[in-house]
Amino acid sequence: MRFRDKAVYLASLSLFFSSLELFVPKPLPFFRLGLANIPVMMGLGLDIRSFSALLLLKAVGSSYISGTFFSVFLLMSLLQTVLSGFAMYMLYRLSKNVSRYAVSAAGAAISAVSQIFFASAYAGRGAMSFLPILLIISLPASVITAYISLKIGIPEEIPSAIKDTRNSTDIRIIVLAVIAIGAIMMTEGPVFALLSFITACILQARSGKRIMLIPHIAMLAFMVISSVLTPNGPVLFTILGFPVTGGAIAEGIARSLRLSSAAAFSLALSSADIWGRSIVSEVLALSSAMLSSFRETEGSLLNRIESTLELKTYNKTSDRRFNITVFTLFLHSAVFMVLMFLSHINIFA
Amino acid sequence: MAMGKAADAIIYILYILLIILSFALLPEGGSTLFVEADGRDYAFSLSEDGLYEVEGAIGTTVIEISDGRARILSSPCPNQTCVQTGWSDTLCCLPNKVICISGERGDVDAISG
Repeated sequence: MRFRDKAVYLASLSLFFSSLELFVPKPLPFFRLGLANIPVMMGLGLDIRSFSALLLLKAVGSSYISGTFFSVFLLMSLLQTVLSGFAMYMLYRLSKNVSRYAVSAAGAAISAVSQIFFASAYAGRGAMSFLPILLIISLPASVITAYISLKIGIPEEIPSAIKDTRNSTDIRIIVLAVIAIGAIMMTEGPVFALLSFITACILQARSGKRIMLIPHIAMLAFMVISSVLTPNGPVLFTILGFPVTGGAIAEGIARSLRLSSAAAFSLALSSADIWGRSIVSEVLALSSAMLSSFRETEGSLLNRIESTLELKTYNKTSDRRFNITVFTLFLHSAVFMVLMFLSHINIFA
Repeated sequence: MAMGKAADAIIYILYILLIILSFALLPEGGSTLFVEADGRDYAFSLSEDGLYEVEGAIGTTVIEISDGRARILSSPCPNQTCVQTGWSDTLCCLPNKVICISGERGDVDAISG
């Protein structure tokens, strides 16, 4: 396979692993398990141009799939992928004596640090308490992903007729999405953030994407704990001499719900065709082919993954069409805007 | 091959050092401002700048936190001694029954006790 095709294949594989990761609860939408890094390590031998393409496609694509695309966290996700990816690449180029396991560990360390760094920019200094545990968990995880990356090989050929014919981008969708996300992220207070979240879930349900509550609950726990570590407001009770304050809890809930709303909204829009015939479109198509191949294969987990890698049982199932009209999107965006404005007026003062 | 092992070892050692360092970065409480206003307890982190309102016996007292210090910005009392105190570890507005004490996290019992 040509290098360029390899980058596309590896990026798609990365998205496939990202999709599998969606079923594991994460405290923040932009936290990543190592699985999506497996293809990155498989691509360490690529030239710098293809490798960069791989990183970008992985960041953009996985952001799109996990619901952080239409939000400010795309940038964070991008930076984290790029920092960690290039660190691994440079380490690999620097000395061929460094083992895959060490490279993986270095990448994991940088991922963990940048994730927590961005998390604390949003959730406050309390988020940094999670750094030690994240680093500790990432170490064995990096060993596992390094091992897997050494075991998997890139197939010689993959079916090429995967590219859908897509329509051109509807600019109105993008504009409405930007407005909606802006409104969501500027909504103050737990009550209105909750209303935003409900609105976003309605949209997600409309789009046909199944709603999974566990990731949202996990994020709520993380946000509340992080926020509570910075006291603010009336003391509700004390734990071991530490004051747990109502204001901090409310802020933690609000922060969490804002992110959850943005994620639900992004997920709702993730089947929107905004990529036209670009390379991103190719990657998205290939990775969803992998997903359907995975779903349709019978047998053990290993079996299914193996056949997914080679796309043996690939048949062209039609993608769920993006069935949200511009008008529906407009209505929802209007609701988000109204909620945002209301939240700034101290109705509950 | 020895070279490879050495490079790997360095990376793993750095990783462990990073873990140890991350424990040191745990947010160190920073001081907390404990406030009792008309019987109700409040707590505010002194590392977060801002204006905070508490309801006292006769009205609202506004507390300002900036650069790790606190002062009473405004209060509904006639003599305004609390406002004139300026930045201090201990602030109180007796007419409004507001008391503010800066302390470490574990001191909370000392105030509400």
